[in-house]
Amino acid sequence: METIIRRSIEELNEILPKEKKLIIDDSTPLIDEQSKLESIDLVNLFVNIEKNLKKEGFPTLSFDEMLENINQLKTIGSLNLFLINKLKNEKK
Amino acid sequence: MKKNKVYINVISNFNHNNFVGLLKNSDNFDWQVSDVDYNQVFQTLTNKNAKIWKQRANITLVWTTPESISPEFQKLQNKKIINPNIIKKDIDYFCFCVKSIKNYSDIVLIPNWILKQPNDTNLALAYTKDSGLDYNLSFMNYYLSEQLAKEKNYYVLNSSKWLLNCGRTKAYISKLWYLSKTPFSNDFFKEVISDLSDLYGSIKGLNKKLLILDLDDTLWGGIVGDVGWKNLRIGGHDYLGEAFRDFQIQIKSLKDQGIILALASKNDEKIAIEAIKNHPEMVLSMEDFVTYRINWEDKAKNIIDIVNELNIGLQSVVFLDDSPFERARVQEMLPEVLVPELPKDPTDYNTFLSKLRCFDKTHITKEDKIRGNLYKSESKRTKLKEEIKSLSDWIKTLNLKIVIENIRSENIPRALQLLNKTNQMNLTTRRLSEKEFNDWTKVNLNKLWTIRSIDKFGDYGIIGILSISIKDNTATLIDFIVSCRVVGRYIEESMVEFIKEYCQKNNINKISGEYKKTEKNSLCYHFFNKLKLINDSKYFFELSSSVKKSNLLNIVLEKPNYS
Repeated sequence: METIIRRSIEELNEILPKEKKLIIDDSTPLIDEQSKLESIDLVNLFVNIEKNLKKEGFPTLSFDEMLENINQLKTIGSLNLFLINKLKNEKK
Repeated sequence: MKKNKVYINVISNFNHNNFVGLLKNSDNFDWQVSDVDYNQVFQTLTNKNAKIWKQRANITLVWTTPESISPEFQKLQNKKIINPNIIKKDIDYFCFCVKSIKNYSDIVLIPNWILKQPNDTNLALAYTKDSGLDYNLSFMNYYLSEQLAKEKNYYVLNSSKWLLNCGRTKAYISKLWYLSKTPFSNDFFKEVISDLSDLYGSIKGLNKKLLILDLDDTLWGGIVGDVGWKNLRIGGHDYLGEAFRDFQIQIKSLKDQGIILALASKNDEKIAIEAIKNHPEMVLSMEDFVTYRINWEDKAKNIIDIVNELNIGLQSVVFLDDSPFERARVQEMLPEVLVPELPKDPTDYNTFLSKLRCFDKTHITKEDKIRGNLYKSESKRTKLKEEIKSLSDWIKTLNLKIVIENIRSENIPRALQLLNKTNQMNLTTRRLSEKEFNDWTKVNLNKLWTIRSIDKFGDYGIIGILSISIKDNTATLIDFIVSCRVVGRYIEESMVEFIKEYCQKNNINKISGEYKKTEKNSLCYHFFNKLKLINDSKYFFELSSSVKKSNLLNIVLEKPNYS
């Protein structure tokens, strides 16, 4: 999962200006007052994650589901945890 | 290195944020982007007081989707019958608006129209005049080109090519469209940016001017020094031959567009030129090449020689070679030279070359067509003052390992192939059948080793053979063979060192040998001549096994037991 998130953030960084580029670290904020990302950037990030999950053969992620759980996606680390838990639940 | 600033206006009817982000982060130019919110195309084109027109731009990109220009076209997507004349009028108005901005920009680029989302229309109706989506889209693009054909500095770009290169499934991400009104993926936008940079480069005269080519397995299939020109694979009823021929045809057309051609090949000059002149399927002739360096020297040095002779900057040079070793060497020594990674499969060469945008031109002049001749008459310049890193320094970076092994049954086929086919670095050009070979190696006092080489680019497999026959305290060198693909990388020197060491350990004092001259093994002569063992009047040589060891750089030599 970490690889998928890393790749998705790298793809996002390709379009972000230097001052907004994300450092790939668990504590980097995504959605909170400290985050540098705008809504369009989050759309791109979620689309990248969905694309990369699909590429690796994981189940599709609904955008609504991401929005419903937005409070769990505050940092890169919590996004990672959210996705791991989600996939665990899917397997059950 | 400081990049050139390029001022670009982006006007589109869709969300182009991702495109602009990628453009600003791309590293070929320093892109200074001015844009307007999406869906403001006509408002911006017709409002000369708009902020975007305050500063003259180098490029204005007007990027629209067909339904945004013609509501009539949109009806087709809803399966309705349309009036093509209305579409024409819509395009006329668009062109009128686009033409009105000519004073605000050096060039105006208009990507031709493709759909913002894939739409697989009814196959049978796709090309009907009044309801066919594909027919009308083709018509719109044709009509657009016609309307702008006479406008100086207006270029209609081929969007379909970006779609094709990117692949439809990768180009469109429907979720991105519905969530952000971005019709295309970042992969697609990267294709556009690459073309945009090349096109701007060509307009500004930054495109490539000189194409330097290798010969063996680049312009033809096979190694001419080994197989002879009659056995090269070019044309004929042979799939690889045809691929090489098509590749040559495309290179010739580049020459006709003003690209200068030159050769840099590790080969015997006489043999290579004989092949170019005599092979009936060769498309390129010696007259097509402005100059050449066909020798056994370092290619980076040869390229420097060529650009000096032609008085061309290294940044104008493209070097095509099938060997990853040669490419890496040139790339490291001459980073200004563009060294594309030629595909491994020659059937992909032609497509690969057609995708290289670095030779693109916006127009072809009479001078372009005769540029080769102009360069042929260019007087030679003094040698480049910059010092080039020596070949031995370069070899040190390769982590070269040479594995010498006693002949084993599984290596016999490759050893026989080398023995019977290698012409150039071959001391005696001894040819043996499998039986003769097996009989010879069974003799106790005959020793034969295979040589394998490995470097940071990979394992080259068995690339050489070394054999001796021992009698009366003397080891006579029988075979000294190295594939010409790896000649000049201190493998030959390592083989000589190995023989010396082997003899020393086995109390053999003397090593002798005789260079047997053939039409094709002058390369071998030069090697032993460089060691001062032979010369024009003396092909027989002797040396003591205790003679001082040569410097083998940092090469790792893996040797078999000496017993």
